[in-house]
Amino acid sequence: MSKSRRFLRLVRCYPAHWRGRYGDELVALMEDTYGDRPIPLRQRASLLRAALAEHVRASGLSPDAGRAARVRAGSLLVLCAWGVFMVAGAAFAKYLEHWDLAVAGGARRIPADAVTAVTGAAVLAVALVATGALALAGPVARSVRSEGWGTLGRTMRAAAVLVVVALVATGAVILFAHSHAATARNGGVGTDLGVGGAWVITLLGALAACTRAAVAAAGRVELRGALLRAEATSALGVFVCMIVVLVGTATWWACVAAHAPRFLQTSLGPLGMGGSVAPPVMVGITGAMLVALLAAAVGIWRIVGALRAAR
Amino acid sequence: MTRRSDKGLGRSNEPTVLILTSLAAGAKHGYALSKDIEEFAGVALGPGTLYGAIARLDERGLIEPVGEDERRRPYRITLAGRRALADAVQEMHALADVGASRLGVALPTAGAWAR
Repeated sequence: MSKSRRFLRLVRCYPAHWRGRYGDELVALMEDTYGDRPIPLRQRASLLRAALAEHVRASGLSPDAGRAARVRAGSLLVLCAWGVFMVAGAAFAKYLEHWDLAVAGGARRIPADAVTAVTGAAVLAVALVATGALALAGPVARSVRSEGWGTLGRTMRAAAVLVVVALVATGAVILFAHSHAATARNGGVGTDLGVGGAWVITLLGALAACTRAAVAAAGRVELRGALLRAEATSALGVFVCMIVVLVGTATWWACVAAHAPRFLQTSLGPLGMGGSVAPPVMVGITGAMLVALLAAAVGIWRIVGALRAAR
Repeated sequence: MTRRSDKGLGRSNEPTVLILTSLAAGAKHGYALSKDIEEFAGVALGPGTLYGAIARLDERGLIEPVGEDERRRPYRITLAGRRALADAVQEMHALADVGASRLGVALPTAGAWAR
């Protein structure tokens, strides 16, 4: 391996924009310092640590990041947390099927209101995320026109391909499900469970790729003025929606556990792994929501801190 | 505990202070900087640490690149960099004064660097 190539391999750990600005200089410094000698392990570790620090700085999560970088990092953290909420929410929606048949009429009002609140908050959060994405679309397009696609093109293409795969898989699963009985659809048959699992993986892949593309696109834009305020407001709104979704989910769970424990113990067949009013699926759903909410709270803390510092 | 301000450069062994001190004597590229710092401070800064600090100083406008060489690009200290270095040196001098008086030893006078 040529000496420049082994140095380039280490420099590749740095963020692309940093490499573009300082990469050649860093390689030249390593050539001058080490020549044909091996790079000491301590210095390799130091380079990796420095590269990691640059990634943290680029994400806006470092304490010395600027105001716009902190708002962007905070908003993106909320967006990623919302991605986790969407996955947990989809699992909750599956769990909700036919719950109202298991709960007596008089006890149905509070959990029904909780489900309505969860649904409304989820729709509002999706609208806020879409608004935030639309607000960024113009500046991202201008950045692409002036600087080219760069690595963003690859990320966007991967997201588009995975979305198409997820849509095709969804269509196939709908056709497949209509040819089977309800018990089989809910995991009663091994092949159906496998098909369902594969479909969920394509959805998760598409969601992760879209979130990654959104993070990469937002990284290309400098947030200022109205755009900065719009992104901060969207993130705050999504955070409030997440609180409503989590409280609504917990309320529904508590009410159903009190009035129809059998529903929690037996629903979802083998997937429910029941016998308890705290089935692993519900524990997983609320646990994932709680962790995501905490991550989003860190994001909101970054945004509020940045906006306060600007006053 | 009182902490230094976020905008400050920090103590004498901070890479940013060492780089500014080196550049105060004239423009240098990465390798020349590293050798000079090793000579006057006895500190060997690794490439990752050195370029991390150069990037910070460059972003803050305390140093700036000069010349056309893309690979061995020299940097020079800016006016803002000179002011920041003067502040850091003053801070270190005040600390050295306190240390010297508590130890009961005399320090040589620092001259007129604080202009």
